[in-house]
Amino acid sequence: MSLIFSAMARIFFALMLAVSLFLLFRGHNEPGGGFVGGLVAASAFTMLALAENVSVARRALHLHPVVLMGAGLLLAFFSGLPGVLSDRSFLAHWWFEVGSLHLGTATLFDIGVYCVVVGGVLCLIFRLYEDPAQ
Amino acid sequence: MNLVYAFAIAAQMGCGIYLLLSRHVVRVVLGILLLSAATNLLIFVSGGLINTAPPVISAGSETLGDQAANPLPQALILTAIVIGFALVAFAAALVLKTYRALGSVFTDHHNAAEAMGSPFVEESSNG
Amino acid sequence: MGFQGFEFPGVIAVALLGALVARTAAMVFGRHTGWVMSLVPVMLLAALLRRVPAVADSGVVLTSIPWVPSLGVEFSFRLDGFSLLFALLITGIGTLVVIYAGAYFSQKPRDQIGRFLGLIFLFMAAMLGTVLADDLIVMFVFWELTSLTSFMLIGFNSGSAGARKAALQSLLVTGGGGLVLFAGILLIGINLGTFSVTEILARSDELAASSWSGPIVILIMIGAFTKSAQVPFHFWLPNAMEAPTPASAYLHSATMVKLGVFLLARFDQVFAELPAFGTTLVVVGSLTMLVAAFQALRAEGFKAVLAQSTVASLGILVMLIGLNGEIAAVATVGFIVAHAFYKAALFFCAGTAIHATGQTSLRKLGGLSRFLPVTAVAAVLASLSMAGLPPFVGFISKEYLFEAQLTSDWNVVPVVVAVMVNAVMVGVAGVVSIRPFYFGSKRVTEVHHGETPGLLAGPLILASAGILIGLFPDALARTLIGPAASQLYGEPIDVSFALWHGLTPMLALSVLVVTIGVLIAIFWDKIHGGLRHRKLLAEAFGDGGYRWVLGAILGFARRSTRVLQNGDQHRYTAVVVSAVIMGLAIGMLSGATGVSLVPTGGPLRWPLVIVLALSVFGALATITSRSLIASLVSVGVTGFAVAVVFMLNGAPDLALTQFAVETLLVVLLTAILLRLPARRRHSRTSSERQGDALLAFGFAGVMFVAIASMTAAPIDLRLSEYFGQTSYLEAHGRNVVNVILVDYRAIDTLGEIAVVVFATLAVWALLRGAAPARTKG
Repeated sequence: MSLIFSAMARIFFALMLAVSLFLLFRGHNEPGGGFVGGLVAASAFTMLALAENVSVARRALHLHPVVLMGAGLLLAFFSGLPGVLSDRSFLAHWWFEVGSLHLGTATLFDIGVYCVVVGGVLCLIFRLYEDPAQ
Repeated sequence: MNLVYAFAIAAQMGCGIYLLLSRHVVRVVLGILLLSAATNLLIFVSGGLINTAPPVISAGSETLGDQAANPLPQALILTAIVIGFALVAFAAALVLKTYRALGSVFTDHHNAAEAMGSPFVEESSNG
Repeated sequence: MGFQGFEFPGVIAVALLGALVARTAAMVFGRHTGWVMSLVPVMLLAALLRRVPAVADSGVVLTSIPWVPSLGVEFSFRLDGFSLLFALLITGIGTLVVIYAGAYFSQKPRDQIGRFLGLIFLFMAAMLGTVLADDLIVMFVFWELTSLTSFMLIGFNSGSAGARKAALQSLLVTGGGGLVLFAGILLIGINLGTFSVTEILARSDELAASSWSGPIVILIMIGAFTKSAQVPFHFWLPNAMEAPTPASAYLHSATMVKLGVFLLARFDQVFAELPAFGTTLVVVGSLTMLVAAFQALRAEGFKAVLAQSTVASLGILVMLIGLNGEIAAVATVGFIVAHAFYKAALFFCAGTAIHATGQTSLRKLGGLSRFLPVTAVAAVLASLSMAGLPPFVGFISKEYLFEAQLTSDWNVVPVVVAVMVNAVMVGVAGVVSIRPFYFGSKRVTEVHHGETPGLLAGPLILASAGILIGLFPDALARTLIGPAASQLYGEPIDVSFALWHGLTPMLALSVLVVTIGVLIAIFWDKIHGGLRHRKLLAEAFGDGGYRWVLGAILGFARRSTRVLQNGDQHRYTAVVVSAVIMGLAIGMLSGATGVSLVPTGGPLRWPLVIVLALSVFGALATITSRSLIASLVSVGVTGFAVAVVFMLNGAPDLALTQFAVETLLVVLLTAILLRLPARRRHSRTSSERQGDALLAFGFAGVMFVAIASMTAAPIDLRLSEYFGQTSYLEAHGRNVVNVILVDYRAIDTLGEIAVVVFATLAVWALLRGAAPARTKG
């Protein structure tokens, strides 16, 4: 792998990760959201894995992708519990006014989706690119 | 315009079906891919495609404008795309696993191989 | 009175309880299990006997508990003269069977007697349920349960291939007939809106007048004929003799096989006005009598002869139901009682003889009275009743049989048939009692098992009951036979069930029958030997037809499996695709949905047209490309084109997602393709490819029409508008698509990400076998 590609990959990786977070958090009001953000983030890690190798991408992720995926699913699940307490309705979201911002458990749900998508896609990519070609 | 959509979707589905009928498992997976893309497009078209503004409530307004596209099929397709991805990935992994277990990517060979038992039994038990 | 409704369910429940405790009882009481467990049917008999006066007075006792109220199915029970007669036979003979079975199995392991008695009690519960049920659905459930227990009892010696085969045969015939009966019951329910026997009998005119009465009669008759072994379903009963003898005595002569007769009798009033009903019964009954009498002459085994004579008796009963008039009703009931008594007794005696010697063939038995003196006496008494000699109850019932025939408007043919068949029965009676026990060509010189009280109680009680009833028929006539026959006839009958009717034509016929019968008994060896080896007859009257049908069904199953399930995935997919095409085409052609090819959706937008053309081009390139990598790239082209379509129609979220997914898919699939061999050959022959192309064209064609019609139809946008109205105000989000995903449809989304989790976990696990590579770059 060329040094230039490798260096560019790292820059792009950081950029794409930033974009993915941006997409995730503005998703409630503008195009974007957990699915799109998660896919962009997964693409970032994929690029890193292709440009360097899988272990670099794994280190960059810090978490095991299966753990990330499970955590995301749990987060999405728990974001629905407050609604059970207040409205007896699972996944009826709570909202808080923080200045001019609306923050709510829906955001947590979306973060859960994001983690599941990142973790799931990276499970596939890491598994296949760690696997020896015949 | 609807007939153009209908033609494009039908053509993609026809190609998908043709691939699905193959005995080569990778081509079957590609057929699934084409079919799912075409199906997503079908759901999209079913929502009516007159308005082309993104279904985002503009700042200052409290409800969706008249010009906005139908948001419901978009929400349905969004998850369908991701699930379709997971499905194809799973199918592809099965293809790889099957090839490693049976030594062929053709379903007619798979039948014969199943009857004979795996040629790689010893290898995998050693590895 | 509060427990009134539970009395009859209680009777059934006690029998079921007997089935549950039988095994434990066998473990505890061992050889005495039969005596101990016989207390259960004795209790039931006593409970039912208490009801005799009420039934004799008022006719019918009804009770009811709701079961499936929504379907109008009630756990309702009806005790009338006819069902009471059956219930008494079931519990009374059941008591003797339980005692006899205890002695019969005394040398066997304890779990065998437990299993056997458990099945007998289960059967008893099923029989009681069948005869007592007022609701036809309830009756049907118990009816099928009797078929099932019969199956298990015939196959009791599960180690024997013959027993298994016979069990399966009886199940297929009686269970299949049960399903036919069920269809008839459902038709009755649809036509009358009720399943209650009481109500159906009350509205019998209505049912007989309905346009469905023909199919209903046919279905019910088939159900009854299979159960009561009438031609052409007669073959299973003789084969059922594989069952242990106590079961044969109980199920296959005294009770279960009479259920068909019971059913026909129940519906006799309803269908009596249909001329074909009575005619069919007389014809089928007469044919059955003839075939069975003939087969009885050919049969070799002790039990086989008895079984054939049972089939003949069932034929007589069916014929009697077909005859009209009160004499026929009395004759039916009288014959049911007489037959149950003498035939069960003879089966007991046969069982004892076979048990003692280990021989089943009549020709090898002789002179047994030295070893089994009491059994021999009982056998002779029972066979005299069977032969229809005075002063036995069999004589009275035969007189009534002839009287019913002579008073009916039938010509002489049934009478001739009845004379011949009854003569054979006399012959059989002689052959099964006098031959094995007194004369016989081969004398038995030793026996393995002698007589025990348990083995004697049944035959002695039944045989002496045959004389007692014959001598004092009046008591039984008023309390049981009268009410039962009245129920059968539909109006009260004053029964004169007497031994001596004077010098009547019936008496002359009886004398004739006995004379011929004695001749048959004397020349049995010659007749038997002459008929035994005729293979053609065996084919015609045996179960050849059954085997042919079964073989044809299995052959068809094999052939269709070879064609449909040939293991070729290509064929399976083609079948599924063809079915989808046909379903869609039929749906559109039948006019359920409007078909329209009108261009709508606004003017052509050229950028979109070009992108869509590109997507089609990608799809076509995918199928024409020879290399898998090229195909993958072409699929990618289609995917990106679809993403652009999303983009151009106001779906930026979708476009972004589709772009990202397509990219990742190419990365993933490339990794997999690198590990697979390069494609070298066509997987399909060129003719297969042409056929597949045709299928693909067909699919595309119907889809094109379907989509065009769909887009021409108006869209219901209410839900989308609701989301647009409330997205910001209630869910605080301006991106409606995202709000739908994380809020309105959040539970769906949760499910969907769970699917993603499971799919990827599965991949993770699937590919785990290969060791992770550390040295790739």
